[in-house]
Amino acid sequence: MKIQRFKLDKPGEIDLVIPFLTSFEEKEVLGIISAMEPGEYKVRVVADHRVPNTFGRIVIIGVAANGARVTVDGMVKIAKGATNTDSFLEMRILLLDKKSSAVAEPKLEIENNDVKASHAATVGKIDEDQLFYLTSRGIDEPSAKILIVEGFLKEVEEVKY
Amino acid sequence: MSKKTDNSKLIEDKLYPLGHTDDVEYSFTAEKGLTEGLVRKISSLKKEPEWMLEIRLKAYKKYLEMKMPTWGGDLSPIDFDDIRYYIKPKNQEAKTWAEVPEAIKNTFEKIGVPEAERELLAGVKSQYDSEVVYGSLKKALSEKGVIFLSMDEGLREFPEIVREHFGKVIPMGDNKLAALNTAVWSGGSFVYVPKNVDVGLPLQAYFRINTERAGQFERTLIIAEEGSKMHYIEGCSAPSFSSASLHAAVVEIYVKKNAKVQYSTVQNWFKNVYNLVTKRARVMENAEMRWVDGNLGSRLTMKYPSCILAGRKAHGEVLSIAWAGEGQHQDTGAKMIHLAPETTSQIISKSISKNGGRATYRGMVHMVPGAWGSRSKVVCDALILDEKSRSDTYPVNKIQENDVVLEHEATVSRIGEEQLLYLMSRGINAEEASTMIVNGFMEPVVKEIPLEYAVEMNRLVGLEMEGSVG
Repeated sequence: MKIQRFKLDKPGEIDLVIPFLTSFEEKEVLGIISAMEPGEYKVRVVADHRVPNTFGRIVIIGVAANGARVTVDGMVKIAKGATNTDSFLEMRILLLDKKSSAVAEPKLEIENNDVKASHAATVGKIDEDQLFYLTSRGIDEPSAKILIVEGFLKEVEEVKY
Repeated sequence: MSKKTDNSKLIEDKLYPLGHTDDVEYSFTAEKGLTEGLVRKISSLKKEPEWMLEIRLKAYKKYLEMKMPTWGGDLSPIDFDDIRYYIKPKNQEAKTWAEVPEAIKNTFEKIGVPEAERELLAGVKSQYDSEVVYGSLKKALSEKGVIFLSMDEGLREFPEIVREHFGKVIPMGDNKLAALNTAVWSGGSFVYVPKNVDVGLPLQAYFRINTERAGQFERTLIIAEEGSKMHYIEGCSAPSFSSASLHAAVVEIYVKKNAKVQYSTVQNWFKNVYNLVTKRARVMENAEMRWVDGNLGSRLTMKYPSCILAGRKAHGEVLSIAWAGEGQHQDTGAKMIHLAPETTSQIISKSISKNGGRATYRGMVHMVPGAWGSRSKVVCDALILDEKSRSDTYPVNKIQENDVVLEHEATVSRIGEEQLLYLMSRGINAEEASTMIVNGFMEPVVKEIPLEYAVEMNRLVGLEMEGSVG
């Protein structure tokens, strides 16, 4: 499987089109958005399945703080003849403070029925239970938050095959 | 003319059992096309107060200024100059069943509005073209102080309530079709439920388009006062036409503090109808709004029921099913606008596309700064039954507050081989098994709609699935 990684850690735009033009291609995109300063962070990813028998995975995770605005625009496109396609798009964004915001647009355009296509998106804050667990073990809140964020990003950073 | 042949063929093939036309005499049929004079004429024929005419004229100007939406389905085949914007049936609103004209009774017979339903269900209101021709209000309802009238009657009898609420949830400038509706609206329902009243039985309305090229622009206003509870059901069906018909309705709902409203729709327009509807509810503190929406018919439907969650702990829900068959595009979805803290919402959307049909989910969840403690969950599942059909998902999740939870998931698949195998190994043939799986897929939404509609829906699935397995 081909793995492509990206990291967006200052305001800017990333535009990625992942074409699937050969049968039995397997591609994975792992993206990290670390939006810790004010500004616009935009990511657009398209998985474009044109031929039969391809496999795609896109996982984008992001954290936003200090007035960062994150937009993730993802699309899984499966053409008419692209049978037996398996494609998944996932985006997870943590908002660390009240000044930051996120727009998540996970889109699908499917033109044949012999496919497995899905997407999932979540946007929210740091899990209270995780925070409570760490602080009850004597870690102060700011450090606990850093630990949680690091752990959250590592899920994608450390994926190896 | 070729289209006409297509339609009659559909009817002959019994694919569309409701496809029939009755001869009803119309006392006023507007010329095709829309002019300021016509807007004035509609208002004066209805003997409306001056302020309503002003709203209509303003909306007409807005309509001319605004642009047609380009982001949804293909609206270009609609020729807006070739539509009759107002038709008034000859018969005035009938008081008793005996007074209802025979031709109209026959239509109800063919649609199968059951006798028992007419007797039992409180206040059966049926819209025949642009005016309500049959309406019966059960005594019990009026004793509770519940008002259930056609929008025209509502305006005549309760002008103050109408004036206070009309066009406030959906302003005329919301979109071009809302502006059009505001300019030429006719019919629809007006419902007012007083404080702490539980209506009990569902309120029903049956909508139909009859004259060829008759646009139907009904306008519904529902006001549920504090602590009240009601369920409104709207069912649609239209006979066959040789050219495209337009249906552009507006539904506004006020769900006040602690109130609960459910609005259920089963839309089964004939396959040449453009169904472009704006539906929105304003939901106040601790109140609940639920849209249950079934879209089976029409050539193109663009409909996104919305909840504006404006009070703390307000809850909004949309459960929808879309069926896109041959030549159909169902562009449906939902909108949840979280304006207050601790508001919650849920969207469950199921779509099925078959025979070259296209099903699109288009939705939005927006949480504004200050809407802390809010939660939203969106689930979209699509089933594509053959290689000719198409399914799209276009969600927007805009989150401007961090103390919230938003979850969104969508899947697109076909009928699972292993599910089919399981059923067939138990002696069920492929066709029955597929029908069963499709009905099972729709079940979470179908179980929320009233029994008679659920039965209709299941029958329709059976009908559409006939001969589909090869």
